[in-house]
Amino acid sequence: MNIMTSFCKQAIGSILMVILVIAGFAQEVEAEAAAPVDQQVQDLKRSVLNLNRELFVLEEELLFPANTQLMLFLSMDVGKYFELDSVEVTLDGKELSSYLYTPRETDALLRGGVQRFYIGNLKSGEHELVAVFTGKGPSGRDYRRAASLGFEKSLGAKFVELKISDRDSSQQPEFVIKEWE
Amino acid sequence: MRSLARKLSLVAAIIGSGQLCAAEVTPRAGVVIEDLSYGQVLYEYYKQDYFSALTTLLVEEHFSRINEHATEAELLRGGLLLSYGLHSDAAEIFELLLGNDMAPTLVEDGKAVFAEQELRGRAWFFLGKVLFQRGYTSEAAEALRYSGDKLAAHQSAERDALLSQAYMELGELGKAEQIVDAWESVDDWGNYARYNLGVALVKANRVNEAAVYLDAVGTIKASSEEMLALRDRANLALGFVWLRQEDGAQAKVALERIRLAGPFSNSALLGYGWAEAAQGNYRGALVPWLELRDRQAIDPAFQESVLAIPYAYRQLGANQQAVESYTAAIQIYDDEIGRLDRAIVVARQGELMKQLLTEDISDFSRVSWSLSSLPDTAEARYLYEVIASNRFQTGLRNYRDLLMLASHLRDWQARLGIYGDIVDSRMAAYAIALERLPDGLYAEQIAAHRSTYEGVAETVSAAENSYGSAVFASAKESAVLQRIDALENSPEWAMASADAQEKLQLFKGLLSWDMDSDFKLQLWQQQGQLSELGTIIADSENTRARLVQRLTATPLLLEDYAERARMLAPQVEQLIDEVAVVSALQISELGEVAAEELVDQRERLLQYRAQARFAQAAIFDSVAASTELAE
Repeated sequence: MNIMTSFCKQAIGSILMVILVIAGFAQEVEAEAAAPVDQQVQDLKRSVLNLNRELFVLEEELLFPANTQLMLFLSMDVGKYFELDSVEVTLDGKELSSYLYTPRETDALLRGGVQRFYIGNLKSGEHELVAVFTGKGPSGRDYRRAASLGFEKSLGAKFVELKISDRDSSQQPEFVIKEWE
Repeated sequence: MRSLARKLSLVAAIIGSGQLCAAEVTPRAGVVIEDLSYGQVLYEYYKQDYFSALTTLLVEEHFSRINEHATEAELLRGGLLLSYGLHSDAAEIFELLLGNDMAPTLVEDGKAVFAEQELRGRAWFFLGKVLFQRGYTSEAAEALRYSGDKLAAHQSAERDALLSQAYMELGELGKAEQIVDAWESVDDWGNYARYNLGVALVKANRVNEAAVYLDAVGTIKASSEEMLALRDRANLALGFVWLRQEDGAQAKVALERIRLAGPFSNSALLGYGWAEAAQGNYRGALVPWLELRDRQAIDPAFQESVLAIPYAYRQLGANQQAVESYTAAIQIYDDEIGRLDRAIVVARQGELMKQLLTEDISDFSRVSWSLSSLPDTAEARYLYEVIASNRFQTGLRNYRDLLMLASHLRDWQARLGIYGDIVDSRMAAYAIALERLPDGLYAEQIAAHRSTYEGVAETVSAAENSYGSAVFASAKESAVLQRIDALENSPEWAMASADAQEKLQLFKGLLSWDMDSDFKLQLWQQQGQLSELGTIIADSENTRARLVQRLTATPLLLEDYAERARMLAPQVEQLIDEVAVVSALQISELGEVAAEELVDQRERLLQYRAQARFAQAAIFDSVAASTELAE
């Protein structure tokens, strides 16, 4: 009987020790102390990050020199009247790039992120850019609209923004292409 | 206006029990984005692709394309490094942002000052978070105290929860209680804080005070799975605290609040049985314990109940059933120990991890693998507990990060080869273009044009200054002027009649009148043409200068690219090798962590089995003693 009573208390006590752990915070310190590999992983991450930066810089300088560089960006302001599916862009009548958006990507755009839609090279002179936006419109119907921009490319990088915003006055989405300095 | 006006939403804290909270360092709500590049970083960040966000940020900063949001970007970089596990790097950034004095600045009123205060507050908050995660609890508490009152609501709540936790770890329970008691809003962080304070008070043997906090969490109106689980957990802790106090009635109240379909239902059933037992109702205790018999043998609550059932039979005087139940329990423990032995061998050989990691690992951005993706093997089912542990999750996250690094590096390896080819072909094309260029690059021709231009300009200038209309005389006028001049200089002219001389003077006067009347128009026309010509010559000179500069710079630039590619290639190779080595170490460590957990489980079962054998023997002794007594 005594054995069982002590067993009973011991059982309850051991379970209580398991239960009584804090919640909501990481025990990172224990993990770091217990895992020397963790430090090696962090060192590697740091090295690869720095190397990655060097590689991306080299890539951009080599493939898209500043004098001929063209960058297109896509942004969304609110998205109340338009649900983005895809964007197709043509430059001087030739297809430049097209992109189909995942829910995670549209969510990132709606939260204020700006997508680098395209990077490439363009010779100096007059050009015309046309962007076609496809998605669901205000009433949930298929919606397809285009916007265009005539611009002059001079020496130096050119930044162009494809901007989708809501126009509350007409309860319609608005598609604008604008040049950045 | 060069701006993108948008409302930026705030990221909700990702909190799981025992899981690292992803660092959320989003911009203030209502921030107007002035740099497309900064928006680009946010895009990657919101996609939860922290590596890409970090790389993009570093590259854009290199090209000086983030100017308007430089400080925000640095704060974001610190947060990204924090989520990426680079704590010391993150701390450096936050410390730098806060300045060397590491003390809060006194600021004046105004919007800019508010933004500065808010930003500094966030920097203190994240610094405190890093320090806490790295075990510098006292320093963390100090930094968190500095974070001020300008934080967003969810960050303020997290700060208070962290600060109270820091005080608990420092043994300053009074300060922790002050924070928790002053909590006004009803939020998840508040619930965590109350629960953790309850746990801390139990450990300090202040049971009655602990019960108040645990009871508060145990009766919350929860809707999310996370809060439902926390509520169950609080009730379970409270139930077992009352059991330890041998108060079965109060224990039952708490345990009855636990969901039967939740993750703590087995433990709740076990506890409920103990609560009945504590009240002397062993028949009632058997109901939940027998219910547990149909559940999974690897569950600790099941394993406990296997031992509790014969205990109840013994208390009810059913010795025969008690003996049979102990025999069954010993068999169950034997079987489980055998399976665990095999699982430990498999884990140490690394096979278990291979089985686990052959699951989908293509999506690197997933925070952790879900338990549902565990392979359906006898060994893997023992890993539920270990996989949920923070140590294992950290290792798993490291391994996933290493896979991602390896993937990036292999990609760069291929691309660097291509870039090397691009540089070579550009060098070749440049050499061909160079051969086609004429010697001197038209220097002589342009100089000759310049010389002619300057001569003409000088003449025009002289004519303007001297009002010399003869400069713009037509060919016919020049010829006539020459004839007049020749006539006047001839020896015979002195003997010419006065009438003839008068006529010649008249004629000269007329000619001069005609030329003078056109002078201004001609001067204007000539100056215009000269200016045009000057522009053309200057353009030619500039074009040539650019060409010369390009011809000088291009080979240097191409050589620079080639050199950089040559330097980077071996670094990529070396890091690929290092990643492979560390990945193997990480796998091995994960296997060892798993094996250690399995050994612990085995130890527990060994103890249970010993207790079962001992109790069974005690029954036999008791029966034998009573038989002897009867005889």
